[in-house]
Amino acid sequence: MKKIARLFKLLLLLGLIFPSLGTDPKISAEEDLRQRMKALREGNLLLEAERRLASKKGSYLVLDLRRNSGEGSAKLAIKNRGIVLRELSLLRYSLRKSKGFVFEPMALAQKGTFFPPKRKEIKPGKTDGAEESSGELDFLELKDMPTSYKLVFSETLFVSVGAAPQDLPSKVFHTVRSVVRHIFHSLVLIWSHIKGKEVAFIEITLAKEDAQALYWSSEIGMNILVIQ
Amino acid sequence: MIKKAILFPLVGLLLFLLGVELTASLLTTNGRSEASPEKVVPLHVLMEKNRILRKKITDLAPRGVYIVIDTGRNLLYLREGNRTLLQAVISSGSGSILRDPEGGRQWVFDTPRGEFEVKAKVTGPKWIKPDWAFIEEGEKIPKDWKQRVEEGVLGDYALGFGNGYFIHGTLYKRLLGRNVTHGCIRVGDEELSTLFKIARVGTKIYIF
Repeated sequence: MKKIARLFKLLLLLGLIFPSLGTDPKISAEEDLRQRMKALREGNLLLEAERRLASKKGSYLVLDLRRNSGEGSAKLAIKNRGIVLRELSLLRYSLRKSKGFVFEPMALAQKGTFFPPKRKEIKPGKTDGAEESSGELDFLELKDMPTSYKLVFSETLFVSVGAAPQDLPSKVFHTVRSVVRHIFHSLVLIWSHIKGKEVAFIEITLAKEDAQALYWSSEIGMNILVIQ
Repeated sequence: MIKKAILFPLVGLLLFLLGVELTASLLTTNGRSEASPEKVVPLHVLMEKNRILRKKITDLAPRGVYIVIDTGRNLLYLREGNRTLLQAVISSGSGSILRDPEGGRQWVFDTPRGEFEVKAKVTGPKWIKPDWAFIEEGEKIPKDWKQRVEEGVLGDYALGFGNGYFIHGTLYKRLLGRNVTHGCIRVGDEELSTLFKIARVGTKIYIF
């Protein structure tokens, strides 16, 4: 009797550890097939969207928010004709979107920053060589690009880009700004819902040089494809 | 009294923010939105479509070698597929503006971005100075075109990619890695020689 009770306990334990053992293999296979077909269907939609972008002239962005998908952390790629020109690793990201918002290729409509970089005006009579010798080189370069800015795509997708804070004051500023931005986004989401518009907010943190490189490379009209 | 004057608005603000946050959380998601329901398609059809789409994208990529230019970091890559054959430090467009004091003309010295191709390969190139070069130096624009020709400033080779833009050599090697040009791409002698040997007319150039 004791032996039977022990065997029953063992079977129960095995059932808890390996719950799939108790399920019908036919149902499990069907579920696997359904998941595989769903993944393929979604993958095909993304491939179709990228094919459309790659067949046009000009570079485009692919923001891949899938984590641990075999390719490591989330990435942002600058692409042209399907080839990766440069890939930037996202240190952090957060996403909020209206229910039902579907990511489709969207064109960059606006680049917003408090301190946009300014072009230098050349004064006639002052040449390259003269400036070089006097050490007065002052051209528009990557280091002049902002590290915190907003990219607005098709008036519905708002991507806030920021560089990882280095010291304590910037960490505090970064946190306060994130909180204020979160509240503001909440208000916009409610307002958009009232107006019957769907919006999405993505906040990404990059290394300083990568944040500047993204500002440098993004041009008005450039498309983005978000993979979630 | 003062405590109440501070406390009431503060509690009101907190309740308002809580309300906003709760309402927003009901209206949002950070999950994936389901694609619109499709008619049932067999697995093999989906797999075949996937293969075709991947091939279509691959077919859009350049065949053979191609050049990638990162104007932000001032780097040039000569690539074949995913393999980098050559990496070179370059100088690209300064983004500066020049206005003609005597006319309404204006130039912005940006390196153009997008997809281009090598249109011409020139050995021992001569620079035919455009109007802006004279205006920038505060000189009069010559009437005789021979006065526009300058030798030895573009290095040993030049690869033209349209609209007067070239990948060429430079006398200002100290400035490689900086954005100092009028839109052309300046490359060091050794890398330029390799690039000139490998790239052909028709080789694709991607600038970003």
